[in-house]
Amino acid sequence: MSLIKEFTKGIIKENPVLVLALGLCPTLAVSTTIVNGIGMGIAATFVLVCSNMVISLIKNLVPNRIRIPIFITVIATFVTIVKLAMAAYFPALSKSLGIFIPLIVVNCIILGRAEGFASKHGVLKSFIDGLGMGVGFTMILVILGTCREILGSGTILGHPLFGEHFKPALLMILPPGGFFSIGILIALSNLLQKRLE
Amino acid sequence: MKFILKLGLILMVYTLIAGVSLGFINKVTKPKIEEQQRMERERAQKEVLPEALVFVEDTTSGGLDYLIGYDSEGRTSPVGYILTTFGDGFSSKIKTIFSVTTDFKVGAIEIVYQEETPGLGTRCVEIKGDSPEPWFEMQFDSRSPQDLLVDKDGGNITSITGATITSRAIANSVQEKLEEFKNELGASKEDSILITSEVRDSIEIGGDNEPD
Repeated sequence: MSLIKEFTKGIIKENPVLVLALGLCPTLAVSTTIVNGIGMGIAATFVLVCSNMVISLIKNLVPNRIRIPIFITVIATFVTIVKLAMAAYFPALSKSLGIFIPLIVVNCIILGRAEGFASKHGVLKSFIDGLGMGVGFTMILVILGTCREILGSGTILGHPLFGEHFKPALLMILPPGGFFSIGILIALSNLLQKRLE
Repeated sequence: MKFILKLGLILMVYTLIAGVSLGFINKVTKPKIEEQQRMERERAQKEVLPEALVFVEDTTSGGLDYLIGYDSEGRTSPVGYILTTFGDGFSSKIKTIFSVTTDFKVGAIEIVYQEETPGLGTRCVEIKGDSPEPWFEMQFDSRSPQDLLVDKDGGNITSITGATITSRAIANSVQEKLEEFKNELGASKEDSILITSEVRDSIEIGGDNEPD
């Protein structure tokens, strides 16, 4: 029972983006299209799950004073694996995500979960926590990506939705559009959470 | 002191493990990544110079690097050349490859790397309707060097709305490179037959042996 709770908290109650407000920079930057959102979400989830598990495994072997450099080493290793694998097997995605893949290293969701959760809990719990947080993060990226792609480019997954003469609201795929959509999304989620209580 | 050394050693053990595992991953993915890059390069080359079957790197002493395209394995006379150029766009270095015909006109261009403003500068690779190629790139086909100017500069390449800097960067970088190429090759036009046979002797097969 508690494991299910551990999983769902990342999606709703402690959603990394909407509630913990972690990792906003990549969220705003890559959520211009759905494909980018999915790609970034999966990459971050993979890193999150793997680093959570490894850090939970080695938590007793890590001297307190140098825990942060060791956590970062673990995270950077997994990020590099993702980066190389993506360049080898999904070159188009790797091209469109560009610098944001290496920047997962400094995504505060990941270090935040390593420090705040995985270094205090068992492997299974840390795995579930990472998965939940990753799914929560991916979900927000996809929601934002969908809204911004439809409004800002008039396409969905690259397919045009409207006729030739549709003029998309360019602003939506530019940075201000990202701030608008994330603001509205956070407001909606707060409203929803209040209703549920 | 001893304490610090101990911490340093522990950290070293962790980084060592990380380093070794990354080395292994790198070894697995490296050939695949190189293969992807090679395919991408070949696709772009075919795109701008479809007539050519064989691409050979230029090995003459001149400062320009370019590929020579031949229509058959025999490599008697070139059907065109491929050059790479970089332009300073609005937010990125725009990398464009383009083909040059034997009378020093642009064959076709292909923008292979850009990170311009989404919705504005990125429209340089936008495809409209059923067209096989981006409309902006198509405007460059069979233009001579002096004709490579965007409308804002008195030329007749229609620039992208709201992205004059991007449009200009591409047009100017292609123009500059083409002029340079024309000067280099035009000067040695008399002994071009000599160059061709030299090239044939020095390179075995294909143009894919360039280091990346």
